[in-house]
Amino acid sequence: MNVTAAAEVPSVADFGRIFRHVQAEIHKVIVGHRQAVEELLSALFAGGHVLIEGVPGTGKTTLVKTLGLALNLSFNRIQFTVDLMPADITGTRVILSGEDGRREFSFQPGPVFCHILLGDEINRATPKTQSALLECMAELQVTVSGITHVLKPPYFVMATLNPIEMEGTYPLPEAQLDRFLFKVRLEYPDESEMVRIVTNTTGPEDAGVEPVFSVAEAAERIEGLKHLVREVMVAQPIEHYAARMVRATQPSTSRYIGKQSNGLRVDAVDRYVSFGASPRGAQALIMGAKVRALLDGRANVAYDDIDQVAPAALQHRVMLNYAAHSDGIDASHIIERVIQAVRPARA
Amino acid sequence: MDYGAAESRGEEKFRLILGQIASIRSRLNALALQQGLFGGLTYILGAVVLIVGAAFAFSPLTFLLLGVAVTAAAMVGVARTARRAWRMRTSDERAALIADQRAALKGRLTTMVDAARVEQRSTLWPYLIEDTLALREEFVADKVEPRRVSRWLWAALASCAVAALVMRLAYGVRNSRLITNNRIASVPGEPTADLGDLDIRPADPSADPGTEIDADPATLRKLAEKLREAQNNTGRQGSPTSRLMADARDAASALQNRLTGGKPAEAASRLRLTDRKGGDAGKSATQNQNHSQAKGSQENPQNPDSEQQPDQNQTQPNSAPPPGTPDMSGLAALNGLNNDDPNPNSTPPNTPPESQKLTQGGPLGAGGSNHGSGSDPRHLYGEADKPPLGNDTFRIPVEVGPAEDGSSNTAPATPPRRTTSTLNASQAPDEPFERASIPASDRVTIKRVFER
Repeated sequence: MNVTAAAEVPSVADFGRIFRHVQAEIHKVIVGHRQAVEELLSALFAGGHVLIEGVPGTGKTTLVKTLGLALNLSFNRIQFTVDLMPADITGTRVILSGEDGRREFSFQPGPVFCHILLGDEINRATPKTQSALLECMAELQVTVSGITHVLKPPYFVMATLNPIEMEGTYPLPEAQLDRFLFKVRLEYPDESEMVRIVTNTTGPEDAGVEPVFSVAEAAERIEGLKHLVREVMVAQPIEHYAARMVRATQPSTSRYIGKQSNGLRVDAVDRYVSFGASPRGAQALIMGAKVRALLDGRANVAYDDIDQVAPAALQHRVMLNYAAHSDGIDASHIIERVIQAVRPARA
Repeated sequence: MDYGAAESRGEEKFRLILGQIASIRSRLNALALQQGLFGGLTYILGAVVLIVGAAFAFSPLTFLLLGVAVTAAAMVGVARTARRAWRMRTSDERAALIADQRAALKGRLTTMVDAARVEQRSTLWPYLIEDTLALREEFVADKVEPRRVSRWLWAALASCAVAALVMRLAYGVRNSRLITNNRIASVPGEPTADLGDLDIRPADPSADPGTEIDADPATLRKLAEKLREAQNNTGRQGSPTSRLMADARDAASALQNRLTGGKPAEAASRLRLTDRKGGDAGKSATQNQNHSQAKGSQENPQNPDSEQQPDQNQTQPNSAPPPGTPDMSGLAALNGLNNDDPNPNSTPPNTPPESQKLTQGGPLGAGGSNHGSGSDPRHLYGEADKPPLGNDTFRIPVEVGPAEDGSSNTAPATPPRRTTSTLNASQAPDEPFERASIPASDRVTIKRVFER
């Protein structure tokens, strides 16, 4: 069932309805992971990219494939390996023979030329190949042999990380991590969810995912919804709140930042964080909060929206030190402390 | 579609919302103002109550320290209340923020007030107006802030009631004390004079009130000087800090007396004579001399009007002492002697020369004057001296008794009254026993005993 006509300007109510529709289609295949799916769609409509972390078999690849099917957008998948070269993902110039028999160089697009890109186990590729994705993600363009090729919007990159097989991997550099809007964790399913997974995937019929949009209008409709997200209003106090939260992730003793003007100091940050979130973190907070506001039927962002998106938006931007690893402290714990510290500054 | 009319209707709705926010702001500001006023009043009244209570309950020094502490605390409290009230003052933005939180509007009002300043409004602006207007019942002023009167009003009323009660009690106690002070002489202060090596002895070894002290004129003159010096220097000796403390204590005492109706400003001093150098007479006792009639306000620095009285009006024959007040004529004469004649060798106008001869008669005369004690074996064989009483000697009446403000809790509140009764026919006035002659057979024995 396709939703509305392409030319129609989406309203707040339309956004919520489409969002829930896509969500429902995905959950025809994906069992559980409701928060992960919601964060994934939020990042999509906020115009960002997502880093998905989960142990093997938790449905990372299935989730991304199902999303592509539900949105009826072009979808590509790259399995990152050690020997994968940048040209393998961006494309390269090859010699082709024309009809007249002449041979000439022609650009052969790589798998990045699509709407939805799944980079499976991105941490297994070399940093050189990983960085090839940077230009695609940030600027929606690829430059090969001095020629820039523009990617068609919407462009949505989902990269998966396997946290337990770290041998022979290349952890993503901070600069590349910062370019992902959210980091989504896929938790191990509980018993009932696992039973449903087994039932759904071992029967004679596959769950059919019905596209929400038609192929012709999918990209335009999604771009319209992304534009609607940017129209959501944010009051200055809430922007200050987001900025204060991001600054609070920086240790007060960090030599990379200026003096903490808000005087906010979080002990857990000082103890366990080597470097906090960048200004991209504040952007991610606001964009994610805007999506949440639309889902709640509002045209304005509330403090609670910021709090709800903070873990997904900030946890991969906080660099923990050795003390955190030795004490078993993860980034979500730090973000929780930061929210608790910043929350009284709302009024 | 008429976009102009729609925009006009939108602006009208927006002004309606802003009006509700303004009413919330007004109410919050009124509460802040009330908090500042009532809070400050509460602190001030509380401090007054504590100070008045302390005036009745504590000594001047404690009252001084407590008064300073309470005043400082009240000032801090008033300042903090004012600052809190100042911080509670509300702008439109803050009123919108408070209304958002209390009415669970999830930032709608904050966003509206904030976006009102922006010229380029979002395409979702009309949606925000309609969405917020639909919830306008949730953010009326009565719902956001139901109180019209600050809670500090009750604190202020309570402090007013307590203050009125305390003032009423204080007024009653003060009046009763003032009446009592008019009847009973005030308990004087207690300057201390070092007798040094003055040869002063009680005429009678009794320590009863009214003990008379005999001494030669030079000694009495020195004694009077020491007494006057001690009274003038009471609380004025020592370092500048101690003098400052004494001044502060005097000021606190004056304020305390004004509040409580305590001892009047004309209160005389009580002298305590001591001999730090170990003289026999100086060690004798704490001797209270109430010579308020003679000394006037010389001992009391709080009454500058009467500073000249000791020199000009020593005896005040027309002012009869109240019951229980000892006879001060002797000391008055003594003061008159010292003040009128600075030369210690000159003859006092009311002292016969024979008296000087008697009292300045060297060791023999001195021994005769204290023969009752029998402590000096050198004078055991001399002729018994006549006691130097009568018109030929100077007398210092000393009132010995427990002080009103003594350290003991069991001490009476006022000096005991001196009771006198007439002698009956079979009684005779007390006279010193005459010394009997020592039998010759006993002289050797007595001499051996006392020379041992």
